[in-house]
Amino acid sequence: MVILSGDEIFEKLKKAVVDYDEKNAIETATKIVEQKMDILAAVKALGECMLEIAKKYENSEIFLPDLLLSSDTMYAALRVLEPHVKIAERDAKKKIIIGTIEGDVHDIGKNILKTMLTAAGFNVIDLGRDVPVEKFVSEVEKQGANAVAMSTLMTATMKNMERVASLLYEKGLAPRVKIAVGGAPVSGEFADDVGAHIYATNALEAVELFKRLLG
Amino acid sequence: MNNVGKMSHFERIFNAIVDEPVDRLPAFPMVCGLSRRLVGATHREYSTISKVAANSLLAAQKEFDMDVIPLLIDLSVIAGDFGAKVRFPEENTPMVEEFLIRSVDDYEKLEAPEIPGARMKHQIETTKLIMEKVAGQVPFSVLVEGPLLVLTQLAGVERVLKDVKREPKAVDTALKVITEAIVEYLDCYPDGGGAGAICMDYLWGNRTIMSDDDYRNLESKYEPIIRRKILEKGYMYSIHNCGESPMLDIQIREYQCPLYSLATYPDRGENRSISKIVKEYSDDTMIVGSLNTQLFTFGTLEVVKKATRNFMEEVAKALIESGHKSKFVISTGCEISPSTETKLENVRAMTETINKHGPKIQEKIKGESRI
Repeated sequence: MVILSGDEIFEKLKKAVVDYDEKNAIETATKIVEQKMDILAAVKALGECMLEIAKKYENSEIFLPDLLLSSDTMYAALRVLEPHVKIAERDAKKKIIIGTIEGDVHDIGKNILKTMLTAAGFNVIDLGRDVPVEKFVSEVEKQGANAVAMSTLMTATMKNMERVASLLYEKGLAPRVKIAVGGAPVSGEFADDVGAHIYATNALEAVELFKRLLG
Repeated sequence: MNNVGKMSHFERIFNAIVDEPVDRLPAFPMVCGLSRRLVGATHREYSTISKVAANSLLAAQKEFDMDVIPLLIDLSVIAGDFGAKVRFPEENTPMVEEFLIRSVDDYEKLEAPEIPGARMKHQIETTKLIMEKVAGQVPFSVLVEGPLLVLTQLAGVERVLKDVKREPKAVDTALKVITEAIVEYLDCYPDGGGAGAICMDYLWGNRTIMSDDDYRNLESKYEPIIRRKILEKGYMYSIHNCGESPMLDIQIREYQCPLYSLATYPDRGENRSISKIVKEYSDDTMIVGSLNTQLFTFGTLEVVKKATRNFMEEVAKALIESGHKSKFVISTGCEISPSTETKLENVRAMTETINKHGPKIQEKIKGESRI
Protein backbone atom coordinates (compact mmCIF):
# COMPACT_ATOMS: atom_id res chain seq x y z
CA MET A 1 0.00 0.00 0.00
CA VAL A 2 1.39 3.42 -0.96
CA ILE A 3 1.31 5.95 1.86
CA LEU A 4 0.75 9.43 0.52
CA SER A 5 1.95 12.56 2.33
CA GLY A 6 -0.59 15.09 3.66
CA ASP A 7 -0.11 17.40 0.69
CA GLU A 8 -0.30 14.58 -1.81
CA ILE A 9 -3.45 13.12 -0.36
CA PHE A 10 -5.16 16.54 -0.17
CA GLU A 11 -4.22 17.12 -3.82
CA LYS A 12 -5.73 13.77 -4.69
CA LEU A 13 -8.92 14.74 -2.86
CA LYS A 14 -9.09 18.04 -4.72
CA LYS A 15 -8.49 16.37 -8.06
CA ALA A 16 -11.37 13.99 -7.37
CA VAL A 17 -13.65 16.98 -6.81
CA VAL A 18 -12.48 18.73 -9.99
CA ASP A 19 -12.99 15.51 -11.98
CA TYR A 20 -16.27 14.82 -10.15
CA ASP A 21 -14.99 11.37 -9.30
CA GLU A 22 -17.11 10.47 -6.27
CA LYS A 23 -15.64 7.00 -5.78
CA ASN A 24 -12.10 8.36 -5.62
CA ALA A 25 -13.18 11.21 -3.34
CA ILE A 26 -14.77 8.80 -0.85
CA GLU A 27 -11.76 6.46 -0.93
CA THR A 28 -9.34 9.34 -0.39
CA ALA A 29 -11.42 10.84 2.41
CA THR A 30 -11.59 7.41 4.06
CA LYS A 31 -7.78 7.14 3.90
CA ILE A 32 -7.45 10.58 5.51
CA VAL A 33 -9.62 9.38 8.39
CA GLU A 34 -7.88 6.00 8.69
CA GLN A 35 -4.41 7.57 8.68
CA LYS A 36 -5.56 10.00 11.41
CA MET A 37 -4.55 13.00 9.32
CA ASP A 38 -5.69 16.55 10.02
CA ILE A 39 -9.42 16.28 9.25
CA LEU A 40 -10.09 19.98 9.57
CA ALA A 41 -7.32 20.74 7.08
CA ALA A 42 -8.87 18.24 4.67
CA VAL A 43 -12.29 19.89 5.02
CA LYS A 44 -10.66 23.25 4.41
CA ALA A 45 -8.86 21.94 1.32
CA LEU A 46 -12.16 20.66 -0.03
CA GLY A 47 -13.79 24.05 0.54
CA GLU A 48 -10.96 25.95 -1.12
CA CYS A 49 -11.12 23.62 -4.09
CA MET A 50 -14.87 24.10 -4.44
CA LEU A 51 -14.52 27.88 -4.33
CA GLU A 52 -11.88 27.68 -7.07
CA ILE A 53 -14.30 25.64 -9.16
CA ALA A 54 -16.99 28.25 -8.51
CA LYS A 55 -14.64 30.97 -9.77
CA LYS A 56 -14.13 29.01 -12.97
CA TYR A 57 -17.91 28.81 -13.32
CA GLU A 58 -18.29 32.55 -12.83
CA ASN A 59 -15.62 33.08 -15.52
CA SER A 60 -17.48 30.73 -17.89
CA GLU A 61 -14.52 28.34 -17.97
CA ILE A 62 -16.85 25.58 -16.85
CA PHE A 63 -20.65 25.33 -16.74
CA LEU A 64 -23.42 24.45 -14.34
CA PRO A 65 -23.36 20.66 -14.93
CA ASP A 66 -19.65 20.61 -13.95
CA LEU A 67 -20.29 22.78 -10.89
CA LEU A 68 -23.17 20.58 -9.72
CA LEU A 69 -21.22 17.35 -10.15
CA SER A 70 -18.18 18.74 -8.34
CA SER A 71 -20.51 19.90 -5.59
CA ASP A 72 -21.92 16.36 -5.22
CA THR A 73 -18.37 15.02 -5.01
CA MET A 74 -17.46 17.53 -2.32
CA TYR A 75 -20.50 16.50 -0.25
CA ALA A 76 -19.62 12.81 -0.70
CA ALA A 77 -16.16 13.45 0.77
CA LEU A 78 -17.56 15.70 3.50
CA ARG A 79 -19.95 12.95 4.62
CA VAL A 80 -16.90 10.79 5.32
CA LEU A 81 -14.85 13.52 6.98
CA GLU A 82 -17.34 15.53 9.02
CA PRO A 83 -18.26 12.91 11.66
CA HIS A 84 -14.58 13.01 12.65
CA VAL A 85 -14.40 16.79 13.06
CA LYS A 86 -14.26 17.59 16.78
CA ILE A 87 -17.60 18.77 18.16
CA ALA A 88 -16.08 22.03 19.41
CA GLU A 89 -14.73 22.79 15.96
CA ARG A 90 -18.12 22.02 14.41
CA ASP A 91 -19.96 24.22 16.88
CA ALA A 92 -17.58 27.12 16.22
CA LYS A 93 -18.95 27.46 12.71
CA LYS A 94 -21.47 30.23 12.10
CA LYS A 95 -24.94 28.90 11.36
CA ILE A 96 -26.93 29.90 8.29
CA ILE A 97 -30.52 28.82 7.69
CA ILE A 98 -31.23 28.48 3.98
CA GLY A 99 -34.32 27.64 1.92
CA THR A 100 -36.54 28.45 -1.05
CA ILE A 101 -39.39 30.66 0.07
CA GLU A 102 -43.02 29.58 0.50
CA GLY A 103 -44.84 29.20 -2.82
CA ASP A 104 -41.75 28.31 -4.84
CA VAL A 105 -40.24 24.91 -5.53
CA HIS A 106 -37.26 25.99 -7.66
CA ASP A 107 -34.16 25.25 -5.64
CA ILE A 108 -31.13 25.15 -7.89
CA GLY A 109 -29.93 28.65 -6.94
CA LYS A 110 -30.39 27.87 -3.27
CA ASN A 111 -28.42 24.64 -3.65
CA ILE A 112 -25.52 26.41 -5.36
CA LEU A 113 -25.31 29.00 -2.60
CA LYS A 114 -25.53 26.25 0.02
CA THR A 115 -22.54 24.50 -1.58
CA MET A 116 -20.49 27.69 -1.64
CA LEU A 117 -21.34 28.60 1.95
CA THR A 118 -20.46 25.08 3.07
CA ALA A 119 -17.20 25.31 1.14
CA ALA A 120 -16.47 28.62 2.85
CA GLY A 121 -16.76 26.95 6.26
CA PHE A 122 -20.27 27.87 7.38
CA ASN A 123 -22.68 25.43 9.01
CA VAL A 124 -25.57 25.55 6.57
CA ILE A 125 -28.95 24.22 7.64
CA ASP A 126 -31.08 23.56 4.58
CA LEU A 127 -34.85 23.77 5.07
CA GLY A 128 -35.50 22.72 1.47
CA ARG A 129 -38.02 24.29 -0.88
CA ASP A 130 -41.45 25.88 -0.46
CA VAL A 131 -40.53 26.71 3.15
CA PRO A 132 -43.34 28.48 5.08
CA VAL A 133 -42.65 32.01 6.28
CA GLU A 134 -43.08 31.02 9.95
CA LYS A 135 -40.73 28.04 9.56
CA PHE A 136 -37.83 30.30 8.56
CA VAL A 137 -38.35 32.38 11.69
CA SER A 138 -38.88 29.46 14.10
CA GLU A 139 -35.76 27.69 12.78
CA VAL A 140 -33.68 30.83 13.23
CA GLU A 141 -34.80 30.86 16.88
CA LYS A 142 -34.44 27.12 17.41
CA GLN A 143 -30.99 26.83 15.84
CA GLY A 144 -29.67 30.11 17.17
CA ALA A 145 -28.72 30.97 13.60
CA ASN A 146 -26.51 33.88 12.65
CA ALA A 147 -28.14 34.41 9.29
CA VAL A 148 -31.03 33.37 7.11
CA ALA A 149 -30.83 33.07 3.33
CA MET A 150 -33.98 32.94 1.20
CA SER A 151 -34.22 32.23 -2.50
CA THR A 152 -36.95 32.47 -5.13
CA LEU A 153 -37.32 32.29 -8.87
CA MET A 154 -40.79 33.82 -8.92
CA THR A 155 -41.86 37.43 -8.45
CA ALA A 156 -45.15 36.18 -7.01
CA THR A 157 -43.39 34.81 -3.93
CA MET A 158 -41.07 37.75 -3.21
CA LYS A 159 -43.61 39.22 -0.81
CA ASN A 160 -43.08 36.15 1.39
CA MET A 161 -39.41 37.09 1.71
CA GLU A 162 -40.55 40.50 2.88
CA ARG A 163 -42.80 38.78 5.46
CA VAL A 164 -39.92 36.72 6.86
CA ALA A 165 -37.76 39.82 7.11
CA SER A 166 -40.55 41.78 8.84
CA LEU A 167 -41.11 38.98 11.36
CA LEU A 168 -37.39 38.78 12.13
CA TYR A 169 -37.34 42.52 12.83
CA GLU A 170 -40.60 42.40 14.83
CA LYS A 171 -39.22 39.64 17.05
CA GLY A 172 -36.01 41.59 17.59
CA LEU A 173 -33.91 38.90 15.89
CA ALA A 174 -32.77 41.15 13.04
CA PRO A 175 -30.50 43.01 12.57
CA ARG A 176 -28.40 40.68 14.78
CA VAL A 177 -29.50 37.83 12.52
CA LYS A 178 -28.44 38.82 9.02
CA ILE A 179 -30.94 38.44 6.20
CA ALA A 180 -29.99 37.42 2.66
CA VAL A 181 -32.30 37.39 -0.35
CA GLY A 182 -31.53 36.07 -3.81
CA GLY A 183 -32.85 34.55 -7.01
CA ALA A 184 -33.48 35.69 -10.57
CA PRO A 185 -36.22 38.30 -9.92
CA VAL A 186 -34.62 39.75 -6.79
CA SER A 187 -32.78 43.06 -7.04
CA GLY A 188 -30.58 45.12 -4.77
CA GLU A 189 -33.37 47.66 -4.49
CA PHE A 190 -35.80 44.98 -3.26
CA ALA A 191 -33.19 43.76 -0.77
CA ASP A 192 -32.84 47.29 0.61
CA ASP A 193 -36.60 47.77 0.76
CA VAL A 194 -37.17 44.67 2.88
CA GLY A 195 -34.23 45.37 5.17
CA ALA A 196 -32.03 42.51 3.90
CA HIS A 197 -28.32 42.76 4.61
CA ILE A 198 -27.02 40.52 1.87
CA TYR A 199 -27.82 40.53 -1.83
CA ALA A 200 -25.47 39.57 -4.63
CA THR A 201 -25.73 38.69 -8.28
CA ASN A 202 -23.80 35.45 -7.88
CA ALA A 203 -23.00 32.91 -5.18
CA LEU A 204 -19.34 33.86 -4.81
CA GLU A 205 -20.13 37.52 -4.16
CA ALA A 206 -22.76 36.40 -1.67
CA VAL A 207 -20.21 34.25 0.18
CA GLU A 208 -17.88 37.24 0.48
CA LEU A 209 -20.70 39.29 2.00
CA PHE A 210 -21.56 36.52 4.47
CA LYS A 211 -17.89 36.32 5.46
CA ARG A 212 -17.70 40.07 5.94
CA LEU A 213 -20.87 40.27 8.02
CA LEU A 214 -20.57 37.08 10.05
CA GLY A 215 -16.82 37.05 10.45
CA MET B 1 -46.75 64.46 -36.41
CA ASN B 2 -46.39 60.89 -37.62
CA ASN B 3 -48.03 60.74 -41.05
CA VAL B 4 -48.81 57.02 -40.74
CA GLY B 5 -52.48 56.81 -39.81
CA LYS B 6 -53.58 54.89 -36.74
CA MET B 7 -53.03 51.24 -37.40
CA SER B 8 -54.87 48.14 -36.31
CA HIS B 9 -53.09 45.72 -33.98
CA PHE B 10 -52.57 43.37 -36.86
CA GLU B 11 -51.13 45.98 -39.23
CA ARG B 12 -48.84 47.33 -36.53
CA ILE B 13 -47.29 43.96 -35.71
CA PHE B 14 -46.95 42.77 -39.26
CA ASN B 15 -45.46 46.03 -40.49
CA ALA B 16 -42.99 45.94 -37.61
CA ILE B 17 -41.92 42.38 -38.46
CA VAL B 18 -40.92 43.47 -41.96
CA ASP B 19 -39.49 46.77 -40.70
CA GLU B 20 -42.01 48.94 -42.50
CA PRO B 21 -43.37 52.22 -41.08
CA VAL B 22 -45.76 51.96 -38.12
CA ASP B 23 -47.78 54.54 -36.20
CA ARG B 24 -45.97 53.45 -33.04
CA LEU B 25 -44.09 50.36 -31.90
CA PRO B 26 -46.37 47.50 -30.81
CA ALA B 27 -47.21 47.14 -27.11
CA PHE B 28 -47.07 43.68 -25.60
CA PRO B 29 -47.15 43.49 -21.82
CA MET B 30 -47.15 39.77 -21.05
CA VAL B 31 -50.33 39.65 -19.04
CA CYS B 32 -51.16 35.96 -18.81
CA GLY B 33 -52.42 34.49 -15.51
CA LEU B 34 -52.76 38.02 -14.19
CA SER B 35 -55.61 38.60 -16.68
CA ARG B 36 -57.94 36.36 -14.63
CA ARG B 37 -58.28 39.18 -12.10
CA LEU B 38 -60.14 41.22 -14.72
CA VAL B 39 -62.91 38.64 -14.84
CA GLY B 40 -62.91 37.77 -11.14
CA ALA B 41 -61.51 34.25 -11.61
CA THR B 42 -58.89 32.42 -9.58
CA HIS B 43 -55.59 31.30 -11.07
CA ARG B 44 -56.70 27.71 -10.64
CA GLU B 45 -59.74 28.45 -12.82
CA TYR B 46 -57.57 30.22 -15.38
CA SER B 47 -55.31 27.16 -15.50
CA THR B 48 -58.05 24.59 -15.88
CA ILE B 49 -61.14 26.12 -17.56
CA SER B 50 -60.58 27.17 -21.17
CA LYS B 51 -63.50 29.58 -21.29
CA VAL B 52 -62.15 31.38 -18.23
CA ALA B 53 -58.63 31.56 -19.67
CA ALA B 54 -59.87 32.84 -23.04
CA ASN B 55 -62.23 35.41 -21.50
CA SER B 56 -59.47 36.59 -19.17
CA LEU B 57 -56.94 37.08 -21.96
CA LEU B 58 -59.49 38.79 -24.20
CA ALA B 59 -60.44 41.11 -21.34
CA ALA B 60 -56.77 41.97 -20.80
CA GLN B 61 -56.30 42.69 -24.49
CA LYS B 62 -59.16 45.21 -24.35
CA GLU B 63 -58.31 46.66 -20.98
CA PHE B 64 -54.67 47.30 -21.82
CA ASP B 65 -54.99 47.77 -25.58
CA MET B 66 -52.44 45.04 -26.15
CA ASP B 67 -51.19 44.50 -29.68
CA VAL B 68 -50.58 40.80 -29.05
CA ILE B 69 -52.36 38.32 -26.78
CA PRO B 70 -49.87 36.21 -24.80
CA LEU B 71 -51.40 32.78 -24.59
CA LEU B 72 -49.51 31.17 -21.76
CA ILE B 73 -51.11 28.96 -19.16
CA ASP B 74 -47.94 27.89 -17.34
CA LEU B 75 -44.77 25.89 -17.93
CA SER B 76 -46.01 22.55 -16.63
CA VAL B 77 -48.61 21.85 -19.33
CA ILE B 78 -46.71 19.17 -21.23
CA ALA B 79 -44.95 17.73 -18.17
CA GLY B 80 -48.32 17.49 -16.43
CA ASP B 81 -49.72 15.43 -19.27
CA PHE B 82 -46.66 13.19 -19.19
CA GLY B 83 -47.61 12.40 -15.60
CA ALA B 84 -45.59 14.77 -13.40
CA LYS B 85 -47.65 15.78 -10.37
CA VAL B 86 -48.69 19.42 -10.73
CA ARG B 87 -49.87 21.62 -7.90
CA PHE B 88 -52.61 24.14 -8.76
CA PRO B 89 -52.58 26.92 -6.16
CA GLU B 90 -55.69 29.09 -6.04
CA GLU B 91 -53.80 32.32 -6.71
CA ASN B 92 -50.39 31.37 -8.05
CA THR B 93 -48.89 29.71 -11.12
CA PRO B 94 -49.24 25.92 -11.25
CA MET B 95 -45.97 24.11 -10.70
CA VAL B 96 -44.59 20.59 -10.76
CA GLU B 97 -44.22 19.26 -7.25
CA GLU B 98 -43.30 15.63 -7.89
CA PHE B 99 -40.97 14.60 -10.65
CA LEU B 100 -41.69 11.64 -12.87
CA ILE B 101 -38.08 10.79 -13.67
CA ARG B 102 -36.19 9.73 -10.56
CA SER B 103 -33.51 7.42 -11.97
CA VAL B 104 -31.50 6.85 -15.12
CA ASP B 105 -33.80 4.00 -16.06
CA ASP B 106 -36.77 6.37 -15.93
CA TYR B 107 -35.37 8.39 -18.86
CA GLU B 108 -35.27 5.25 -20.96
CA LYS B 109 -38.74 4.20 -19.84
CA LEU B 110 -40.37 7.56 -20.61
CA GLU B 111 -43.42 7.12 -22.81
CA ALA B 112 -45.49 9.78 -24.52
CA PRO B 113 -48.97 10.17 -23.05
CA GLU B 114 -52.15 10.17 -25.08
CA ILE B 115 -52.06 13.43 -27.00
CA PRO B 116 -53.60 15.83 -26.42
CA GLY B 117 -53.73 15.26 -22.67
CA ALA B 118 -56.05 17.26 -20.41
CA ARG B 119 -53.66 20.16 -19.93
CA MET B 120 -52.71 20.36 -23.58
CA LYS B 121 -56.42 20.31 -24.45
CA HIS B 122 -56.97 23.27 -22.15
CA GLN B 123 -54.37 25.35 -23.97
CA ILE B 124 -55.60 24.24 -27.41
CA GLU B 125 -59.23 25.02 -26.52
CA THR B 126 -58.21 28.41 -25.13
CA THR B 127 -56.41 29.13 -28.41
CA LYS B 128 -59.47 28.13 -30.43
CA LEU B 129 -61.74 30.39 -28.38
CA ILE B 130 -59.39 33.32 -28.81
CA MET B 131 -59.05 32.69 -32.52
CA GLU B 132 -62.84 32.63 -32.88
CA LYS B 133 -63.03 36.10 -31.39
CA VAL B 134 -60.01 37.96 -32.71
CA ALA B 135 -58.25 36.07 -35.53
CA GLY B 136 -57.15 38.61 -38.11
CA GLN B 137 -57.67 41.51 -35.72
CA VAL B 138 -55.33 40.88 -32.83
CA PRO B 139 -52.31 38.59 -33.23
CA PHE B 140 -51.71 36.07 -30.48
CA SER B 141 -48.67 34.14 -29.33
CA VAL B 142 -49.09 30.64 -27.88
CA LEU B 143 -46.24 29.63 -25.61
CA VAL B 144 -45.16 26.00 -25.76
CA GLU B 145 -42.44 24.44 -23.61
CA GLY B 146 -39.34 23.26 -25.46
CA PRO B 147 -38.05 19.68 -25.07
CA LEU B 148 -35.35 20.52 -22.53
CA LEU B 149 -37.74 22.60 -20.44
CA VAL B 150 -40.23 19.71 -20.42
CA LEU B 151 -37.47 17.33 -19.37
CA THR B 152 -36.40 19.57 -16.48
CA GLN B 153 -40.05 19.68 -15.40
CA LEU B 154 -40.14 15.89 -15.48
CA ALA B 155 -36.82 15.19 -13.77
CA GLY B 156 -35.77 18.40 -12.02
CA VAL B 157 -33.16 20.84 -13.28
CA GLU B 158 -30.32 19.47 -11.19
CA ARG B 159 -30.79 15.88 -12.24
CA VAL B 160 -31.01 16.78 -15.92
CA LEU B 161 -27.94 19.02 -15.86
CA LYS B 162 -25.87 16.38 -14.10
CA ASP B 163 -27.11 13.64 -16.39
CA VAL B 164 -26.19 15.71 -19.44
CA LYS B 165 -22.63 14.76 -18.42
CA ARG B 166 -23.20 11.43 -16.67
CA GLU B 167 -25.87 9.84 -18.83
CA PRO B 168 -26.04 11.71 -22.15
CA LYS B 169 -27.57 8.78 -24.00
CA ALA B 170 -30.42 8.42 -21.53
CA VAL B 171 -31.10 12.17 -21.62
CA ASP B 172 -31.16 12.10 -25.40
CA THR B 173 -33.58 9.16 -25.44
CA ALA B 174 -36.02 11.13 -23.28
CA LEU B 175 -35.60 14.30 -25.37
CA LYS B 176 -36.49 12.35 -28.49
CA VAL B 177 -39.71 11.03 -26.91
CA ILE B 178 -40.61 14.51 -25.64
CA THR B 179 -39.94 16.11 -29.04
CA GLU B 180 -42.21 13.61 -30.74
CA ALA B 181 -44.90 14.39 -28.18
CA ILE B 182 -44.49 18.14 -28.73
CA VAL B 183 -44.81 17.73 -32.48
CA GLU B 184 -47.97 15.65 -32.03
CA TYR B 185 -49.30 18.26 -29.61
CA LEU B 186 -48.58 21.08 -32.09
CA ASP B 187 -50.43 19.12 -34.70
CA CYS B 188 -53.57 19.30 -32.54
CA TYR B 189 -53.72 23.11 -32.81
CA PRO B 190 -56.11 24.58 -35.36
CA ASP B 191 -54.56 25.86 -38.55
CA GLY B 192 -52.97 29.20 -37.68
CA GLY B 193 -53.61 30.87 -41.03
CA GLY B 194 -50.94 33.43 -40.19
CA ALA B 195 -53.07 34.86 -37.39
CA GLY B 196 -50.60 34.18 -34.64
CA ALA B 197 -47.30 32.75 -33.50
CA ILE B 198 -46.23 29.69 -31.59
CA CYS B 199 -43.53 30.71 -29.22
CA MET B 200 -41.17 27.97 -28.04
CA ASP B 201 -39.70 28.42 -24.59
CA TYR B 202 -36.06 27.43 -25.00
CA LEU B 203 -34.97 28.64 -21.60
CA TRP B 204 -32.00 26.35 -21.14
CA GLY B 205 -30.09 27.63 -24.15
CA ASN B 206 -28.32 29.89 -21.73
CA ARG B 207 -24.58 30.35 -21.22
CA THR B 208 -24.87 30.66 -17.45
CA ILE B 209 -26.22 27.10 -17.57
CA MET B 210 -24.34 25.16 -20.23
CA SER B 211 -21.88 25.44 -23.09
CA ASP B 212 -22.91 26.03 -26.69
CA ASP B 213 -21.58 22.57 -27.55
CA ASP B 214 -23.69 20.84 -24.90
CA TYR B 215 -26.76 22.76 -26.02
CA ARG B 216 -26.15 21.83 -29.65
CA ASN B 217 -26.11 18.17 -28.62
CA LEU B 218 -29.41 18.53 -26.76
CA GLU B 219 -32.26 20.79 -27.84
CA SER B 220 -30.63 21.97 -31.07
CA LYS B 221 -30.85 18.48 -32.48
CA TYR B 222 -34.63 18.55 -32.23
CA GLU B 223 -35.38 22.21 -32.94
CA PRO B 224 -35.71 21.88 -36.76
CA ILE B 225 -38.44 19.24 -36.39
CA ILE B 226 -40.46 21.53 -34.12
CA ARG B 227 -39.90 24.59 -36.30
CA ARG B 228 -41.04 22.69 -39.38
CA LYS B 229 -44.28 21.64 -37.67
CA ILE B 230 -45.04 25.19 -36.48
CA LEU B 231 -44.60 26.60 -39.98
CA GLU B 232 -46.56 23.73 -41.50
CA LYS B 233 -49.46 24.58 -39.16
CA GLY B 234 -49.53 28.16 -40.43
CA TYR B 235 -48.07 29.92 -37.37
CA MET B 236 -45.15 32.28 -37.15
CA TYR B 237 -42.17 30.80 -35.36
CA SER B 238 -41.12 32.58 -32.22
CA ILE B 239 -38.81 31.87 -29.28
CA HIS B 240 -38.88 33.10 -25.71
CA ASN B 241 -35.84 32.90 -23.49
CA CYS B 242 -35.74 35.02 -20.36
CA GLY B 243 -32.39 33.63 -19.17
CA GLU B 244 -29.48 35.87 -18.27
CA SER B 245 -27.24 34.85 -21.17
CA PRO B 246 -29.34 33.34 -23.95
CA MET B 247 -27.48 31.78 -26.86
CA LEU B 248 -28.59 34.41 -29.34
CA ASP B 249 -26.41 33.26 -32.22
CA ILE B 250 -27.83 29.77 -31.98
CA GLN B 251 -31.44 30.60 -31.18
CA ILE B 252 -31.82 33.58 -33.53
CA ARG B 253 -29.45 32.86 -36.40
CA GLU B 254 -29.10 29.09 -36.51
CA TYR B 255 -32.80 28.57 -35.72
CA GLN B 256 -33.77 31.34 -38.20
CA CYS B 257 -36.22 32.74 -35.71
CA PRO B 258 -38.11 35.84 -36.93
CA LEU B 259 -39.47 36.83 -33.48
CA TYR B 260 -37.31 36.59 -30.37
CA SER B 261 -38.53 37.48 -26.92
CA LEU B 262 -35.98 38.06 -24.19
CA ALA B 263 -35.25 39.71 -20.86
CA THR B 264 -32.41 42.06 -20.02
CA TYR B 265 -30.52 42.13 -16.72
CA PRO B 266 -28.50 45.31 -16.21
CA ASP B 267 -26.39 43.81 -13.43
CA ARG B 268 -25.61 40.28 -14.59
CA GLY B 269 -25.22 37.88 -17.49
CA GLU B 270 -24.65 38.76 -21.14
CA ASN B 271 -28.01 40.46 -21.85
CA ARG B 272 -27.32 43.75 -20.11
CA SER B 273 -28.26 46.23 -22.81
CA ILE B 274 -31.23 46.20 -25.14
CA SER B 275 -29.45 48.69 -27.34
CA LYS B 276 -26.58 46.29 -28.04
CA ILE B 277 -28.97 43.43 -28.83
CA VAL B 278 -31.08 45.55 -31.20
CA LYS B 279 -27.99 46.66 -33.08
CA GLU B 280 -26.54 43.16 -33.33
CA TYR B 281 -29.63 41.11 -34.10
CA SER B 282 -32.35 43.27 -35.68
CA ASP B 283 -31.25 42.30 -39.18
CA ASP B 284 -32.04 38.70 -38.27
CA THR B 285 -35.10 38.92 -36.07
CA MET B 286 -37.62 41.20 -34.43
CA ILE B 287 -36.66 41.58 -30.79
CA VAL B 288 -39.51 41.47 -28.28
CA GLY B 289 -38.56 42.84 -24.90
CA SER B 290 -37.82 43.64 -22.18
CA LEU B 291 -39.19 45.90 -19.44
CA ASN B 292 -38.46 44.59 -15.97
CA THR B 293 -41.50 42.70 -14.68
CA GLN B 294 -40.71 43.80 -11.11
CA LEU B 295 -42.01 47.24 -12.04
CA PHE B 296 -45.57 45.97 -12.09
CA THR B 297 -45.52 44.54 -8.60
CA PHE B 298 -43.26 46.92 -6.76
CA GLY B 299 -43.25 50.12 -8.86
CA THR B 300 -45.45 53.19 -8.67
CA LEU B 301 -47.34 54.63 -11.63
CA GLU B 302 -44.70 57.29 -12.10
CA VAL B 303 -41.87 54.77 -11.97
CA VAL B 304 -43.56 52.58 -14.60
CA LYS B 305 -44.26 55.54 -16.89
CA LYS B 306 -40.70 56.78 -16.62
CA ALA B 307 -39.17 53.33 -17.15
CA THR B 308 -41.38 52.72 -20.20
CA ARG B 309 -40.59 56.10 -21.71
CA ASN B 310 -36.85 55.69 -21.13
CA PHE B 311 -36.94 52.20 -22.59
CA MET B 312 -38.78 53.44 -25.69
CA GLU B 313 -36.18 56.17 -26.19
CA GLU B 314 -33.34 53.67 -25.81
CA VAL B 315 -34.91 51.30 -28.33
CA ALA B 316 -35.60 54.15 -30.78
CA LYS B 317 -31.99 55.29 -30.60
CA ALA B 318 -30.76 51.74 -31.25
CA LEU B 319 -33.18 51.32 -34.18
CA ILE B 320 -32.02 54.61 -35.68
CA GLU B 321 -28.37 53.72 -35.26
CA SER B 322 -28.85 50.30 -36.83
CA GLY B 323 -30.91 51.71 -39.72
CA HIS B 324 -34.26 50.15 -38.80
CA LYS B 325 -37.70 51.70 -38.95
CA SER B 326 -39.87 49.63 -36.65
CA LYS B 327 -38.48 46.18 -35.98
CA PHE B 328 -39.20 45.91 -32.26
CA VAL B 329 -42.03 45.09 -29.87
CA ILE B 330 -42.15 46.93 -26.54
CA SER B 331 -42.81 44.10 -24.16
CA THR B 332 -41.88 42.74 -20.77
CA GLY B 333 -38.90 40.44 -20.27
CA CYS B 334 -41.18 37.69 -19.04
CA GLU B 335 -44.73 37.08 -17.87
CA ILE B 336 -45.91 39.82 -15.52
CA SER B 337 -46.33 38.18 -12.14
CA PRO B 338 -49.88 36.83 -11.75
CA SER B 339 -49.70 37.59 -8.03
CA THR B 340 -52.66 39.27 -6.38
CA GLU B 341 -50.18 41.96 -5.38
CA THR B 342 -49.30 42.96 -8.94
CA LYS B 343 -50.83 46.34 -9.73
CA LEU B 344 -53.10 46.30 -12.77
CA GLU B 345 -52.87 50.08 -13.01
CA ASN B 346 -49.14 49.70 -13.62
CA VAL B 347 -49.81 47.60 -16.72
CA ARG B 348 -52.19 50.30 -17.90
CA ALA B 349 -49.48 52.90 -17.27
CA MET B 350 -47.10 50.99 -19.54
CA THR B 351 -49.46 50.75 -22.51
CA GLU B 352 -50.77 54.32 -22.04
CA THR B 353 -47.20 55.58 -22.11
CA ILE B 354 -46.57 53.66 -25.35
CA ASN B 355 -49.77 55.07 -26.85
CA LYS B 356 -48.98 58.59 -25.71
CA HIS B 357 -45.32 58.86 -26.67
CA GLY B 358 -45.05 56.13 -29.31
CA PRO B 359 -46.16 58.18 -32.36
CA LYS B 360 -43.73 61.04 -31.64
CA ILE B 361 -40.86 58.67 -31.02
CA GLN B 362 -41.75 56.83 -34.22
CA GLU B 363 -41.63 60.09 -36.14
CA LYS B 364 -38.15 60.64 -34.76
CA ILE B 365 -37.08 57.17 -35.92
CA LYS B 366 -38.49 57.88 -39.37
CA GLY B 367 -36.69 61.21 -39.60
CA GLU B 368 -33.33 60.03 -38.37
CA SER B 369 -33.02 56.46 -39.59
CA ARG B 370 -29.95 56.08 -41.77
CA ILE B 371 -31.76 54.01 -44.38
